[in-house]
Amino acid sequence: MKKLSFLAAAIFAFAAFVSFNNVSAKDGLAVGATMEDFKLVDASGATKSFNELKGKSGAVLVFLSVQCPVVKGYDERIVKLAAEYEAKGINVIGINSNATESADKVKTHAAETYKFPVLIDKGNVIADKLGANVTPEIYYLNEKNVLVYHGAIDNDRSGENVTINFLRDAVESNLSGKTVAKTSANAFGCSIKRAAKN
Amino acid sequence: MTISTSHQEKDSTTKQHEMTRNKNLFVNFRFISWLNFFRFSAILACAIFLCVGNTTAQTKKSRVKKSAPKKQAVLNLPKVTQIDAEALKKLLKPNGKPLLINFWATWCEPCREEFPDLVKIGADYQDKIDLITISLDELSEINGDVPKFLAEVKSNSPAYLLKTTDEGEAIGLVAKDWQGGLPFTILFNADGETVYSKQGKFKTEFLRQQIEDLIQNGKKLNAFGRGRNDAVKDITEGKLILKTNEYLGRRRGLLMLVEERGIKFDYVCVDFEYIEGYNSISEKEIAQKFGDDFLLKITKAKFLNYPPQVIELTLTPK
Repeated sequence: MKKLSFLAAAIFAFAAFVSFNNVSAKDGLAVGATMEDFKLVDASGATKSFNELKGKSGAVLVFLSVQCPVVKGYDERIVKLAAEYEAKGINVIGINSNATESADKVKTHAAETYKFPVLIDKGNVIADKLGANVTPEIYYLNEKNVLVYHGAIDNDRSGENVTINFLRDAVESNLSGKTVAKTSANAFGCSIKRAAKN
Repeated sequence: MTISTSHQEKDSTTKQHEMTRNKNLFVNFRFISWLNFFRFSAILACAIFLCVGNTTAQTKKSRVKKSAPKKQAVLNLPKVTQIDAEALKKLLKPNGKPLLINFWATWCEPCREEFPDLVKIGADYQDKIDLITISLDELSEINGDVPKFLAEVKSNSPAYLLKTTDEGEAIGLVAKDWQGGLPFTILFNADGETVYSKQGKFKTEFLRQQIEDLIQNGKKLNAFGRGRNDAVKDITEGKLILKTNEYLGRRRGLLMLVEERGIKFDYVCVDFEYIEGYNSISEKEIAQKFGDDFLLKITKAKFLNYPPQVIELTLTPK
């Protein structure tokens, strides 16, 4: 009995440790880690799961904003990428985690701008889980939901002087079975406006 | 009393006069309005026409007037210097004083919102810290929107515009935990150690407190303060504020808070007013752990951000 309670205590302690580590993980989902399925409401109000929306070869999650000028600068490129990747079995899924942008605005903006679904991350739950902080910010996951690449789309916000296509390189390398050379790249963007929780 | 009565009499007489006059005016007005309705309408129309004409003319004049100072302002726009990653690296090194850097862009609404506070902080601590601002706008705005905005908010701090082909590298140079979101504010002590950084809008009061702490102590505070003597003084005066990166509810957090501060206590009476569910440490436990100086009562604790990475406590002596 004593052994059992010791075992139970050990399991509990381990679970608490793991749980604490998850909670305090400031960096969010690491490259190489598997993302758990999640459900969010889309712009039309329907609940969608990630697994339901992803393509047969994976998905690109892109954190968006209605107002962010950097996102606006990337919109054309994002739309183009989405169409191109859909043909390759990789679905682009937009996520809006900004507490300052209403569901109505997200809905209108999504309908006007994108052909892929845009999910509303109320309370920035998914942004917190993944560690997303900026818009636009990309999470490219393979068919097993393993994070392959995280960060910027390319190295030029204006789109006029792009010399490195971070996302494109990662997708092409991964699809052709090669090692992805650059698995993360930061870039300047708009901070995600998180909901006040206290 | 007599005076008052005579005043009352005068008042009643005056009122009667006024009523009669008002009545007459009303009758006159009715008479005039009925008889001369069309004439007055015509006059009124003319008056309106003239007024509108004048207003339009004035607007045009004021436009002309306004455009003149604008031209003047263009001449006095603050200088914005273009930098690359190499130059940024040099700028990140403090020059004998604490250094506050704000990364911003004209397209970033929260940046624009917090900028006036930043300018005020710069003015208030003019001789005590160095403040520089680094814009992430397009290079084409270096003589356009960037200096225009700086002039608008009356910023006179050294202003730069970062242009680099590898933004990730530049971001990494500034802070390891920065993902590139704007605004971003970072405070270095004179030795170049990061004391405070914030992605997103800073909380003015909190930033000011960080600067105050830094100025008073001359070096970076650790999460637990400045050491025994200062702490004892502050506690005696009842104005100690501790900041910790620990979840206070976790026993380890509070024990470390006191331990690393270097103070010995009889015991600490913990009374969290604002943190629910985290009040897990007992007086007895602390009494066993600590020494002989003070009884502390935590009277106030609040989250400064969420998830709670920084918690502010106010401690008062017994």
